[in-house]
Amino acid sequence: MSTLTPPAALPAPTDTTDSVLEVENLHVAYGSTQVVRDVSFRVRRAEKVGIVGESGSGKSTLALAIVGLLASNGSVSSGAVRVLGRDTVGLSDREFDRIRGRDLSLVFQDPLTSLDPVKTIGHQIAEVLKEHTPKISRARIRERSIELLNSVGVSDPASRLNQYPHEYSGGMRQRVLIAIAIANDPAVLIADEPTTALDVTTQAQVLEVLDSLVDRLGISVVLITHDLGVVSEFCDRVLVMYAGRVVESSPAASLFAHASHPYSLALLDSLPLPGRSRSEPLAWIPGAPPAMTDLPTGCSFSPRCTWAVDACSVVAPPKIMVGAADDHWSECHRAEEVAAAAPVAEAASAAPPESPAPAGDPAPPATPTDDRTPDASH
Amino acid sequence: MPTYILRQVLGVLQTLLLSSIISFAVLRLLPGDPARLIVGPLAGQAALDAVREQLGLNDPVIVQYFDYVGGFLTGNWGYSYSNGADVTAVLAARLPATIELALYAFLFALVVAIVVATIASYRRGIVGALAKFFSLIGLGTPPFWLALVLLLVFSVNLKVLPGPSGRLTSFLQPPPTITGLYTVDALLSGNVVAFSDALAHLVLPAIALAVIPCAFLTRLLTANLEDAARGAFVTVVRSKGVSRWSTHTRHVLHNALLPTVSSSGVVLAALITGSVLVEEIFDWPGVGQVLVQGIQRQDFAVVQTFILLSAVIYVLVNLLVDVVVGFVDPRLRLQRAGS
Repeated sequence: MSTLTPPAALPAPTDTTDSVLEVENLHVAYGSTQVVRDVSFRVRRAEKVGIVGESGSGKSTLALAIVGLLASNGSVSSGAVRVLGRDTVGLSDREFDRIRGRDLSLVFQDPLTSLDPVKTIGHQIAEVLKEHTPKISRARIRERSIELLNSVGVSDPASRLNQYPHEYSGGMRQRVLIAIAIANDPAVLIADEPTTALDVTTQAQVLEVLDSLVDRLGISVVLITHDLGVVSEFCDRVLVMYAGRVVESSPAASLFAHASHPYSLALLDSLPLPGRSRSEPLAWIPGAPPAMTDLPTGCSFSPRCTWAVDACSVVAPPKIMVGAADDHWSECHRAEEVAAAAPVAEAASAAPPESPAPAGDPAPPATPTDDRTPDASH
Repeated sequence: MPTYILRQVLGVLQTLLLSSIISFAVLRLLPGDPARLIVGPLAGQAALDAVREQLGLNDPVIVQYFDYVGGFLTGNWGYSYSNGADVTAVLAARLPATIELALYAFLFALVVAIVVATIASYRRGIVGALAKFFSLIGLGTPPFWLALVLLLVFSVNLKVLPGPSGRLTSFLQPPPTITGLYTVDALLSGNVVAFSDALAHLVLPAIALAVIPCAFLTRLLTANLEDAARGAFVTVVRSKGVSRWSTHTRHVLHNALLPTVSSSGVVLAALITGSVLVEEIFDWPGVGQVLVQGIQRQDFAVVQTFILLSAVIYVLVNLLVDVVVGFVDPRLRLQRAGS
């Protein structure tokens, strides 16, 4: 596998063969309730994609659907998920087991409950190594485990291998989970709210570890979070989810400057950004997310939307391209107007310090053409 | 560590003190006069008084209590009022039979419960429903009834297992006493014939005795397994590529066993002290028969001793379980070392 190749040595990202993960028109349902609706996106090698939304927007379900570990009452009702070009929807459990932990791995929400409390840390790391390299020697497992714990910043790994999860702090447990997730150099790592349960300082440390590792190993990351701050620090691209749909897709920098869906805009407004006056109260979004069993007609966000016009509650908005580049779209009838009203000045100071097109991002934007159709992957 | 041990010891003493008071009090409060039982209905008042005096029944109650506890502690468990037998000798002769039967029943209950619960919680559908149905039936099955059915089927009709003939076929010599458990002693002395015969005699009573505890443990373990299977760590283990069955048996079962092991102590102790009816049916020379006779004849010495002995067995078994749980659960190990 070439995932160890540094991103710099990769060929210029030109076509879809560079995608390590493609999600195409994915629908996921629990029973008869659709909780993920028509989600499509593509993750290139070494790209970091953020999926943002509030609780109940379907983002965790999306993560579980991608790794094929939906609860027994959940199922993919249509669409495709391709990992390294191979469609995993409809794979048998046994076939999927060969992919999980090798090509595709998961870092889960709550580090405190994500490790088996009655097995040593060493055992839990060894498990993922043995599962995909059955003939691996004990000495090699030990060597590799120590190497992994070192790389995630666990000090004195040799002696900590024999300890149990309750002897680790929350931040250290999340580092262990990251070590497990990268043990077999996967192509894609799905991180579902990896820092939510941690305090702010630990959050930053864990993100830093994750960031440096994926850069060094060229792992692509799908980071699922409700925290736009985390996204701004970490991600190249952002998908904003609302009521099970992706309502806006954009390069991270572009979202902060030109959010073009009222929901994204509202999320940005509720962020305590530097440069924003402290005396000014934080904005919030009125109302609650709709029940997935009883979605409003037209645009799902329309009942809560301050931009809504009559058409919004009747016709579901199409994907509308925003800006000059072809990598930013929004499902809003008034996308252009919203983009123009985006808090450019404030957002500029909050935008990530990196260049707007980090490694792995598409090459120079193509010239827009008139009959351009929105591409789901952009 | 010292605090932990001290707490345990105090807990044990408290349990034993309470049960000694209860066992002493209950029999005194029951109507009936053991002295009258000993001398017989036709004896005169003088004889009755003499026996009363001899038994210490005229002493103040508090003196009687201390006599009883002191006697228990020094291994002097008194004499049967009804037939004059040395209670210590009677129980020493009969307790091993009861313990052997209880151990086999316990082993059977535990193994069946683990296998059934693991499969039932893994395959929720029809298999899980069947397991739940049968464990419910099992909970309500009277052991004496099941004992009779088992005897009818396997001994009378199929003739594959011995009938109600005690621990060993009558013409066989019991193996030399090492532990008092025939199967173990037979193995230790290399007597294969005695071993297989003793084992064959154990099968039916052990099953009859095991059914209720087995159903109880199955339900408990199934619930614990279903609980553990919902843990976040299960998803993480699956995300490593470990199959669902391996995840279930290696991780979920291990976590679910902790509360089950804790409860199994009570189950084992209940088996040792509660096998009366089954022993009766299988003509098992255990303590059950002696106990029933003791109660019928108001034989203070026998019954009191047995009640207190049961308390000791409960306490010992539960101490043992605490140690076992410590091995299974690393979190407890640390707590103990730390306290």
